[in-house]
Amino acid sequence: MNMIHRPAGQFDTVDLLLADVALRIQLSPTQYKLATDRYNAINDWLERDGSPLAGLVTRFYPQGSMSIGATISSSVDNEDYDIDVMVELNIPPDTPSDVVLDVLYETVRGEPGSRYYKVTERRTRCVTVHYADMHIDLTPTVLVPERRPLTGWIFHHKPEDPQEPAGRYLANPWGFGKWYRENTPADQGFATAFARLAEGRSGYEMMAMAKADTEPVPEQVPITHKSMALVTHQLTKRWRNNRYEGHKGKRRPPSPLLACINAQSAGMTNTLAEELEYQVDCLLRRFEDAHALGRLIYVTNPECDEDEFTDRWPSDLDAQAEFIDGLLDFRFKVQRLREEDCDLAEMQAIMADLFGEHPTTAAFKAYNERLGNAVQTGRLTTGRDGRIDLGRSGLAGTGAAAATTSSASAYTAPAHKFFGGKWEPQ
Amino acid sequence: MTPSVQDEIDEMRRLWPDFQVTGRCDHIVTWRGVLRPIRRPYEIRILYGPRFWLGRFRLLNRRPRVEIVSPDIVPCHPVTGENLPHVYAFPRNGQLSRLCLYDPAERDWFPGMPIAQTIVPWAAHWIACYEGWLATGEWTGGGRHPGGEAATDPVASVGGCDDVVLQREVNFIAALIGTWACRALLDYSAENVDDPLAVPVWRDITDIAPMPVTEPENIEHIAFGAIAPRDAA
Repeated sequence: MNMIHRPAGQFDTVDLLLADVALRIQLSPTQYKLATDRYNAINDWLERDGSPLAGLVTRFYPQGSMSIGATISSSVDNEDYDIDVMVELNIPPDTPSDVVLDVLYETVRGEPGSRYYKVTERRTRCVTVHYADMHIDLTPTVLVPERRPLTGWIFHHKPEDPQEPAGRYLANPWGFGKWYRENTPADQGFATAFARLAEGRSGYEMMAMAKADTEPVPEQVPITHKSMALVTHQLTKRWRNNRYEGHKGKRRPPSPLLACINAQSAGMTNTLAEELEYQVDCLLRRFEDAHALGRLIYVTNPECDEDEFTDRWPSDLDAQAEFIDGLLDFRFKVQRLREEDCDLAEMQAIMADLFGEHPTTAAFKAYNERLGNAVQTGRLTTGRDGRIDLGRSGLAGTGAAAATTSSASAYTAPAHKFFGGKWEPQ
Repeated sequence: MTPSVQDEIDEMRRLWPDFQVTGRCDHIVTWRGVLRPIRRPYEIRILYGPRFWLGRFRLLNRRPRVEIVSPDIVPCHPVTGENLPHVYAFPRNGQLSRLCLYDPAERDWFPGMPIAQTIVPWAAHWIACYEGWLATGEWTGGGRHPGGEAATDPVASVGGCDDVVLQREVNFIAALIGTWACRALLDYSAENVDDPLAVPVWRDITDIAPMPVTEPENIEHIAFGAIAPRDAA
């Protein structure tokens, strides 16, 4: 795993809170293990005795956010994670799309009474298995050996719309995941600080076990190897989900498109908030450049030119302009988060607006509790300007002193208790 | 041994070099400085008289006084409606007064503990807790609200004199020092004045009773006249 070794930037409160929100929206190790168990169960089920696809599944691997460690809840109001899996089939590549998708659907669904019978859905390019807290999208693919590794055909067929032509497209999600990881190496200082923040959290106690016991495929990006770019990608996706939440059925900017621009802009900053502002700015400029020419943005998979990330969105310039408006607002608010006179209450209001009420409120409440605990136990340490030393004060997570930048002149005052009365209006 | 004003100034300069002395005399000093516990800067003003003798009175209440100059503090939580904890209010005009940074009963602070090592970082703690309270509605920094106990702090010892003299001197001193005196002292003095002097405005008393100071050009915000200390024996 690539890792950049450089000192962490000053881990400011806003960085801490952004990281905490990111932790709260992503798939926890406990949920990851659950997803892995379900993934393995489906894999076994596809190859069960009597399965129409027995012996034909040559590879079964994660794609999309699961492959880069960026899985977040697809819903703002409740936990619902998309797990994307490729099902590589050893069948003729010219098999009609409807046949490929229907066979996979029937194979997963099984006979009446099977565990998947009532929770399986045939979709345009994949088959979805629904669970209470997540759904797994199984996309059938047929390998194209002469292309880069794991490049394959994916199939398109919309049964509810016979007028829409069926077809097949070249794609390489595995190659994209590898490319993304190579272009967003973890920053050691940030990754360590981020991991410390997660320590002791519900669900994250599974980290060590998950790393030791799970199969190498699917590979989860350990939390200790998160790059700032990856975390900002998660936050950007969350913002997108939040913004498009009220528009059910409306297509939204696809994650691979956002991830691609994110990786192309990675590694240029020192703090998470700075990285987020930079990433949003880069995204905005890419869209504005296309829009200024009256064109729709066009982005392809760096590992497969034919794999267009923008083939289904934006549908027209209006959809593109709407997204640009959103990005302008996003950038403005992130800039405000970084301004000197932005206090904690305003930070909370901005982050709730951007990323949703629930994870933001929880992150601020947790921060405030750690802060109060540090005051009451006499551990709150400040620098020469009164700025709280997050590491030494224990606000950045268990044992985070070594993971965050501390001022050499930091000072821990004697313990004290506040006194006096409450303000009374006259 | 109680640090002198100069000791306090030196220690403040060492630990908080950006804090500026805005007024001083032999036994009183005021500073202004900026604290940024979380991010937003807060300008605070500290007034302290480490050795405080006025006339024949030895004031025991030598508590440093800390106020936030800017930004304006929100006195009532916009969501919960709860009033801001751990402050004293001016009863006359509703403005916020001192931050309540330590519990006298716990002896967290007593004269002799340098302001720079205690009061300043505690003010940073207060501000951080205030921001947390404003964001979440919860004051997590702990503390105690004693209710009526706050009015009973012992503050002055007075040499032997008859009641008439005592009352006159108490009134005089209260006029000089405003709330810097103890509540009991001021309550006593206020019996014979129309406008209770327990409600000072920083500049008021200087106007009423300008007193000689050792460095008058430096006196910016001392709210009370300064009498040169007498023999403390």
